[in-house]
Amino acid sequence: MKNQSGFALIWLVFWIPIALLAISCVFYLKAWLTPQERNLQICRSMLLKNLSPISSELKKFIELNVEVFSLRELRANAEMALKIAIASNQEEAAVIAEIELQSVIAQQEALRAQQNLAKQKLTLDLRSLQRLIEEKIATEQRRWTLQTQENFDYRGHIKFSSPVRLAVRAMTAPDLGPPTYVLMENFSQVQALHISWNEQIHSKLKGESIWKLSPLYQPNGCTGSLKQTLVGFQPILLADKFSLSSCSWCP
Amino acid sequence: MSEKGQSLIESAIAMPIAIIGITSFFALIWNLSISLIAHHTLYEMLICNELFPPPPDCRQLAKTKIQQVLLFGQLETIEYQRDSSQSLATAKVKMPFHLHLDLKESLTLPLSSVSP
Repeated sequence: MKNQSGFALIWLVFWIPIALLAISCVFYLKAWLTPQERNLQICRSMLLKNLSPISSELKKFIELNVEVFSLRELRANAEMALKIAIASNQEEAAVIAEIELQSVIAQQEALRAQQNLAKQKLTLDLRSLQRLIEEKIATEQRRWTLQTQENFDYRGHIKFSSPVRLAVRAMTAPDLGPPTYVLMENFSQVQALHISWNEQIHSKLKGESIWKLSPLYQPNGCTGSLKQTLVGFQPILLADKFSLSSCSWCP
Repeated sequence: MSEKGQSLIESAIAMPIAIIGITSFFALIWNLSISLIAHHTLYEMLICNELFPPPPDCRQLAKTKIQQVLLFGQLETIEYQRDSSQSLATAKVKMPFHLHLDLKESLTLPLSSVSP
């Protein structure tokens, strides 16, 4: 009887730590995947949601080109009328043509100011969105660090990216007023907003790290942009090296 | 029957039960771990299919990734379906000891409402 108790005790002593370790492994894995999934979801959702109003603004900005062309035509007509009036010595017609020309030039300057303002606002909106998402993920990482500090040592670091620029090119026509703006080649790729961060975790037992030697480390991120469609612009998520690890098609 | 003989019989009964119990426990833990990773991969496959430009084969990428973590298991099928409101990924994994994992992940569309 004594022997049997001893045998059972050895079994328990042997298996209980292994069982506990196995259960810990599952919790460790869960604690490792949860912040990754949550941060990726925040990044993707925020990008798509907040790029939507920006896409409307960009559409309005590009539509200003129609007004640019229309004012160029009016200006060319006014200049032609002025030249004809001067050539034919019609003072009254020349004065009217001159007033018309000055009026068109004033409209063009107003339009140029409107374009600059819209361009600056778009750039600012894109940069604000980039910072907003980075801040949100940094907050989530801090929250997760505090929430899991009893059992895990989780550390997250945002890799703050360089400020994004609006991927449009000005097409100027000398002496014809404000430029038209066209999208750069590969617009969706050039306009991409990259948000990236690192995550690191190792397990703790009563406040002490037990797996310091091999903490799990994962770079992560998401990329969003705008795609031109027939009716305007559409927010999209771009494929990047974090989309599905081990992918070979990523840029 | 002597005490030694009785102890031997008890051990002969207890040993297989203990082995089965321990094996089941570790199989369960192993399944849970695989299930966590596979669910994560399936969700990433759904996202992958909505990306721009469309990647060549998200299903194959997910398949490769799940197979990498299975070790003793075997991925039997991995399917992807999409309609206007939802995309769905399912996978069947054959694990050791005749255990099966049926995995399912869905994503609410349009993508602007990315679901967790």
